[in-house]
Amino acid sequence: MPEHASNHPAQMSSQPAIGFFERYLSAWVALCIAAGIGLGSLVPGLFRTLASLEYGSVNFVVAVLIWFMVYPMMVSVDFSSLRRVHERPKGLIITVTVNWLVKPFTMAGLGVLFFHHLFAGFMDPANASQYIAGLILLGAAPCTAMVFVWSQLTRGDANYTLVQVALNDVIMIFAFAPLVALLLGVTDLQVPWATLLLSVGLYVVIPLAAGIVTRLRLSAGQASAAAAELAVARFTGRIKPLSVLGLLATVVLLFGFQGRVILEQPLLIGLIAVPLLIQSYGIFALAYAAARAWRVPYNVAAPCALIGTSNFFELAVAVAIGLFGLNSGAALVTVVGVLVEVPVMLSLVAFANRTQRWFPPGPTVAGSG
Amino acid sequence: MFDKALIALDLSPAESAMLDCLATLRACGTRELVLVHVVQVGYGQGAAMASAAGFKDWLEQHATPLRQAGFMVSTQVRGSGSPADEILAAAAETGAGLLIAGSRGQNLLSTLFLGSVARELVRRSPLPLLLQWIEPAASGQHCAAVCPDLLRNLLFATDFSTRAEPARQVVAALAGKAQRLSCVHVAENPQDAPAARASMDRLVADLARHHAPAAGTVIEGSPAAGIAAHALQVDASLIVLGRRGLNPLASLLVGSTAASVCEVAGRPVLIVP
Repeated sequence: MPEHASNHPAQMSSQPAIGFFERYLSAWVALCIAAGIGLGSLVPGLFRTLASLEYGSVNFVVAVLIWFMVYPMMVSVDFSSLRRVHERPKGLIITVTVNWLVKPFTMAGLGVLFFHHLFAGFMDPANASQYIAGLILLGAAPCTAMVFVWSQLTRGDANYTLVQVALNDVIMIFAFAPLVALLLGVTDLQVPWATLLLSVGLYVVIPLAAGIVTRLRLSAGQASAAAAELAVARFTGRIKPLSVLGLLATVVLLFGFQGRVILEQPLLIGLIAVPLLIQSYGIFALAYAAARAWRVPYNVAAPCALIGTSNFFELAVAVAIGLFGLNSGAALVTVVGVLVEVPVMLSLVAFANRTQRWFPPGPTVAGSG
Repeated sequence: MFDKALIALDLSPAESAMLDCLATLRACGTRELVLVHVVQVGYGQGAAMASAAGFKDWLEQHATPLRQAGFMVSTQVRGSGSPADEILAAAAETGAGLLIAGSRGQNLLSTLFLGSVARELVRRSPLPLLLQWIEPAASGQHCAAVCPDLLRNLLFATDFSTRAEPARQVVAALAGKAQRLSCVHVAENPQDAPAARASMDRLVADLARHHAPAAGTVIEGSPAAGIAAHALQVDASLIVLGRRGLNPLASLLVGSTAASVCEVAGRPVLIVP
């Protein structure tokens, strides 16, 4: 089907709404950072005990919390949608190119530029390498959890968004570890391949496999594809509190260890945010300009650029902890990624909605009947 | 009075039963129905938007018998991070004068912290809201809507406050079509009962002047339980009441009397803001 010819049956309100939790995600993360710092000072023994619950490089508490975050989103992705991968090739080509051939490298480049050069006077070299590693992990993992929020807020084509997410998740299984290993070569940090592969296995492959199995079980016996999707949506709605709990508890746990660093260098979060912000706006500009040049319809161009921009911060947090530990600079950077994600993405959503006239119109909405 | 009604649906099997009840709305003067399903879009949610065409088919299948029953019916599938906001937006866009939602038991966590869409609508709807009670079956898989002739036995629950006045006006308008009408007030404080009885007498007399003879009762107790018990006793087909003035926090934590009445009474409740 040509990219401009698909009909979307969903009716859109004049101002699509974002949920309460999602709108104030940065505030919740900031509160959890404060709670983590406070608790880390008050009950440091508790955090040491939690940190000791590990085998090899895997902390059991963190592993469970990350599964809480990643499993629901893997359940919600219908990988059979990949059969429609040929339907909107332009958007897919742009986003895949940006996500896997551009973004990881620009993120690593910005990390080196800022932390080894421009901000070198504010941090010691060992920490700087950790921060670069955190940026690399963020840059190498494309967004999964919030993509439908960004797509909806720009009235994007949900079918394109679903195919894009499914495709990114499959590519991630094979490309994430080699990309991260390659780019970490620019830092002075030694990363054992076994640990990296274990992290991908634990936090991508296992939740993805569990998601597929769960989806098949929920869909079994349903009268139609729509009924099956409803059953899945109800299930993910019921377990959403687990995702939220996993995300916020991980932030509290991380900052229980990072509190001393933050209290000693309160401006550190601001320094870390600078390359993240430049990367986000730069990548969006690149993907959005490519979509405009290629005359991609707006309802594909907007989610295409937004998916290219945002990060799978849950995976980045998990792998940073697995590779470098709870009290590492790399883990700190990944949480700063969570902190800036929503304000940045909302500003890009607003920009996209104001500039939709730059693109050919999407399909006619056919919600009323 | 309620020419156009918007029905918010989550497309559960239980709601098929609720849709079967909509024919009873004709007695209230309803001619046009808008069936709306909102896909929740949020953190880790929203992939179902890709199935919007299938959801639209579901709505259209259920619209067919309603069209055959003489209603004008339109259907919409929408996506939002806030289903209640989206339903209210849809109502405003379509010019609906009445909102209808199903109400059934939620799990404790949802009720306390997240709130069902129906509870959110109870708290915020600027339009009259008809909560259709859906009876969960033992299996949990199939439900049946309690589906009486809505105007067979109308029960107006009032606290005599100014907030109850719009509800009284709706009752007065519907009373001419109702087979029976009764009014109830629940006095939380026994000392208030004598004054309440005098107010009830005035209300009954006023309704009689509008050709709506009614029986009036004043009982003592907690409002939700008292109204629900009285509704059971008189076998009310529809309870009409105003939205009680709880502050937002109290409303969020304990729910309004209206929502509680619907859950306790197990029958339709019309909440008039």
